[in-house]
Amino acid sequence: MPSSSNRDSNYYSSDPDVLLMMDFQKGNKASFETLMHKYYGRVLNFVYRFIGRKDIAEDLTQEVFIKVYQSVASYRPQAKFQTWVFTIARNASLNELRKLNQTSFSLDETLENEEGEALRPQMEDPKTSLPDIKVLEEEKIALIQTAIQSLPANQRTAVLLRRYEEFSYEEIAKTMNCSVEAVKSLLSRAKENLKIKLSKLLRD
Amino acid sequence: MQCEEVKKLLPNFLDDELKPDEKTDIQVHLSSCEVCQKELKAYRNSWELLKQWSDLEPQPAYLSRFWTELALRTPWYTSFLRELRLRFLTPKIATVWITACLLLAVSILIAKHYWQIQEVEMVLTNLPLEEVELIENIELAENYEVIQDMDLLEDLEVLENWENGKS
Repeated sequence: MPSSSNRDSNYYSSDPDVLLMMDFQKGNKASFETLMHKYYGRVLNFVYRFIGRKDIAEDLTQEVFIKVYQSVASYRPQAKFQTWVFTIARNASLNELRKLNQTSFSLDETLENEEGEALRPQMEDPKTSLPDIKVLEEEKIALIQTAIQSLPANQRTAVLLRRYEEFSYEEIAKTMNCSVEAVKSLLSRAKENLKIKLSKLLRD
Repeated sequence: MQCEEVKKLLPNFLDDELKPDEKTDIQVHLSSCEVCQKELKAYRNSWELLKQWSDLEPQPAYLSRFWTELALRTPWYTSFLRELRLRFLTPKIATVWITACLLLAVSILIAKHYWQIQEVEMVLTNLPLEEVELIENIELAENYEVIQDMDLLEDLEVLENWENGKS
């Protein structure tokens, strides 16, 4: 009777990305580049939203794919490829967070927009006659960013995987190495927190 | 179902991740509870708002940057061994190599045997006739020496018998 790891390997061999990785394992570098094209943007945005730092996100994403590359010899498909890649991305992000010594942002933390300018959510200014739509849009994004990064790391991971990567609860559980019930609980609490933190935006 | 219980389940209800009976109970409750309807709307709106944080675009040269970074980190001998393993030591190629080596070994043995035969024939060609005849009849020559020795042995036997008889 095949062992569970053999059964898993056979099961996940139908995943096209797993097949590409196994093709790379046989020496085809083009397969690795195909995987990189497919996942680079996704991993970059996961890491960026998790850490909140655009300057670090690219470096960290490169690290994730270096780890993927260096793992080729020992790679055995025990999950969907995307689950495996995002597990690596999550672990790398957590390690980076520890290095940065961040646990959460306060609402007064200075955030930067994409041009690197300091951005602080503004109070309503009655003297402004015509609202600057771009500024308002950036403020909205800043509030969303603050709300996500104020979540504890596990809730943050669950939200990012569910909302932006559309992982199922089972896939999130595999990525985070926890039970589906734990994922339900994490997402429940995360949504409660987000509802409270984003209520200002929703009132406007 | 009470409002407190419903509110706890609304986040998972939004994801359609509840058991069928729980889902039904909540739908029934929502149909008559404006407070919980408002709560569900707040959850839904805040969740939808997240999507407005648009994606970051990767730097255009991320692939070439990756290969450069990898080359800088990998010692030359590790890259060489990895390339060797990836290109020449896959199971299929390893089978081909082993078969080729076995064929080569067998060919060398056959060639060696053939050359030995050729060498002997060449030596025989260059020998004088008398020596060739001797080699061809080497068994006879050896037997002749045996016979000669046997005559001597017979004489010895006779002598021994005479000695024993005398004693």
